[in-house]
Amino acid sequence: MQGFKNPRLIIRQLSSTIPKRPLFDQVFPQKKLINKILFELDSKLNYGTLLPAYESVYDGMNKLDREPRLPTSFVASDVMVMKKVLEKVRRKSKSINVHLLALENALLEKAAEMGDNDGIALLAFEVLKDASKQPVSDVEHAKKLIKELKNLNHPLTLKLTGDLVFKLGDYNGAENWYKRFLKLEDETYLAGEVYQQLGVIYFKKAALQDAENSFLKSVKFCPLERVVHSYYYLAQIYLNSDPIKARFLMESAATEGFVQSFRALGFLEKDYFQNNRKALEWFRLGMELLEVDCFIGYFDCCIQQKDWQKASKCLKSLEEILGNHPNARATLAQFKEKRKATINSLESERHLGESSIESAKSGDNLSQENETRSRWDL
Amino acid sequence: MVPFTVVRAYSVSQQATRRLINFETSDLFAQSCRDNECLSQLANIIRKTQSDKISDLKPLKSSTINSDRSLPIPVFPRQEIFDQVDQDVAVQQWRKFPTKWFRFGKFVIKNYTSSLRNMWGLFKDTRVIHKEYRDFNKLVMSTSKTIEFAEIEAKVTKSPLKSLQLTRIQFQEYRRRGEFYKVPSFLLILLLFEEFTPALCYVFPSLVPWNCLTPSAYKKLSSKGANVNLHGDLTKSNEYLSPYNVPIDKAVEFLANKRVLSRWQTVFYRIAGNNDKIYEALAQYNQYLLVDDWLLLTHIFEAGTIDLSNRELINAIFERQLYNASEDLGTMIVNEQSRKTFLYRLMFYLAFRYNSTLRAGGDKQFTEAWGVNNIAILNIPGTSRFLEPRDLDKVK
Repeated sequence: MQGFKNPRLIIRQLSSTIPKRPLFDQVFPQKKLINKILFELDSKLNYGTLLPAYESVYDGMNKLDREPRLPTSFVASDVMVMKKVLEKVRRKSKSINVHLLALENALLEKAAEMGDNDGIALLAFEVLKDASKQPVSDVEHAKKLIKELKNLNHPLTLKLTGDLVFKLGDYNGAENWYKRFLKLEDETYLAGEVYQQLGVIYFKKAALQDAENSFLKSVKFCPLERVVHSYYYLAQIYLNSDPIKARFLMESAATEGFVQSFRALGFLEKDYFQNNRKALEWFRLGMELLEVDCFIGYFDCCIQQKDWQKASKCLKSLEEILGNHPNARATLAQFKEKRKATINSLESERHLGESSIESAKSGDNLSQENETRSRWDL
Repeated sequence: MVPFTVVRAYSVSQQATRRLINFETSDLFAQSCRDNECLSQLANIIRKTQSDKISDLKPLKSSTINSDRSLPIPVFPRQEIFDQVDQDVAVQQWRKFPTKWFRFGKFVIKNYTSSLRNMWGLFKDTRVIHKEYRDFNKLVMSTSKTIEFAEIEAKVTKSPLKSLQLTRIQFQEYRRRGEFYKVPSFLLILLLFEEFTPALCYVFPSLVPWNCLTPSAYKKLSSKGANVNLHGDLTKSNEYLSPYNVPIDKAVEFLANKRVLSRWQTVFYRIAGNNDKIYEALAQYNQYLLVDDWLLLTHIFEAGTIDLSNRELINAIFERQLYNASEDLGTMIVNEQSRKTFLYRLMFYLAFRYNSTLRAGGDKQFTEAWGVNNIAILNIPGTSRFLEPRDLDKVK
């Protein structure tokens, strides 16, 4: 609104190549949240000290010629704390504000400039992540910096190296780097994340006992939102031997919106705990994220509950979703083939009314009985 | 790197195509052996086993599967005691009758005292394992998880199955440790009622520690719980039956008869509307049997012999419900033919469940073949009727 009052400012803003940003007050989170995060990070800094620093850096992002002014007492690690606060805000809100993300990156660069090893490592690995798109000189410099940090046994560098190697598919190599990291620190949040990665590696190798131990440590050291995978994998590990524990862990993962957990929870409730009401809820959540298995589970639950209308709607949605994908047509055909009698009865219901459903259902039951007979061979 | 996918068997689409074992004729049994690799292996082992070497009075001390001290005596040797008195020339004719009963009474009292001593020994010996797990159900869950891990590892890496660190004796004795807490009340009863204690034990068998149970009380318990078939009519049985899908009355009856939950506990849970506790206990019992079967089969395949003692054998038959209500397990076990019959019944049960699974040399995990805690196969004998001693010729 200020711009309209001052024509000079409007001209200046329009002519600038820097993207227009909203005012700092409009994007920055509330005091209460920042203080809570600072407490969690066990930082000596407070909201009153940090706010001008954040504002200065944020404003500096809009003006290329202006260096952000930080309090003279600030060291590199303090700038990293500022960056971590914003990172936590992002994780907690499960959303990305592009302006805050830009501020986070600016803080990271500032910390690296001030000589913070974590900042340097993060930036160097950012370059290596898509090295092909970066100038050769940058890549070489990043490699040089990483080498130096490795020689210093810098923990974050070891972890990031493990992550990079893991992404490339070298699980044994990644395991070695992670173990080196854990020798340096094994009871921090970061260690929790490393234990999660180690657990995944062991899980892939079918060394389930080791995987379980790693995931348990990960859950112990890290809050849920940072190690959702650990909860999900642990649930997978316990699914046969302790379904109740598995359900609890899977529900924890679901609270963080972990997509795969909706399907697993739905089938667990439907087939094992025999709770169709809960199963329907989980499937419904999965359907909102277009999980095909959830549509199938939802359809079966509706049929079991004799809710023909919902089943019919679900079938229609499934046909719409899968019909558009050539690869999924086989799945749809298989689904229809297995539930032929039920689907036919649903079709006839549209014309004949509900009475025909009952008779078709009894036909379904008969076919199930026949299957059972052949199963026991009696 | 070995590709690895998690397969969970909640879905009924993974059909296990098993056939019940048929022993109506020798040819049909031979055909069953051809169809069922596990049955064939077990039948060979049972033929090699010289079961007459195992006597209840001299249980195998070296065995890692028998814990006779924690089990009740199947039958009192009354006739043997009476015969001894008859042949004893030192006992005059007019004293024979009271002496017979006096010596028999002495045997019964001695049996009680040795059982109590054994219970104390068992309590002390299981302290280490108790410190680690604190609760038997935790041990069951942990072991079934370890079994599953071993199965997956063997399947993925194509390596032999790893053995468990736990022996069957340790497993069973820890389970029976819970009976120790009945000792104080039992001693009180013994003190108050003296010679009437056996009669009281007969009327209220749940008051007595398991290894102090008299043969008559054992018979009463076993015949009471013989008719609870969780699978129902086999012709209408479902492929997969979750513990939460079992009719609650059946579940309660089954668990009470197997001494998993006491009657008052089940009544309390039902009044409180907490049926889930009952279903959980059913699932845990199913897992207990799974682990026990695994330990038994491992021992049988590794040792190449079935050296189950009489007490352990009838206990296995009782827990898996492989008998009719009219059968007296205690008196039958001392008969060689009946003992063999019981061995075959146990073998059929195991062969039906474990054929084509990794434990029996197959390629499937147990849960892959049958589903998680599939109650539909909890007490299925693997045959359409129980084997009788007269059928033994057909299975030879």
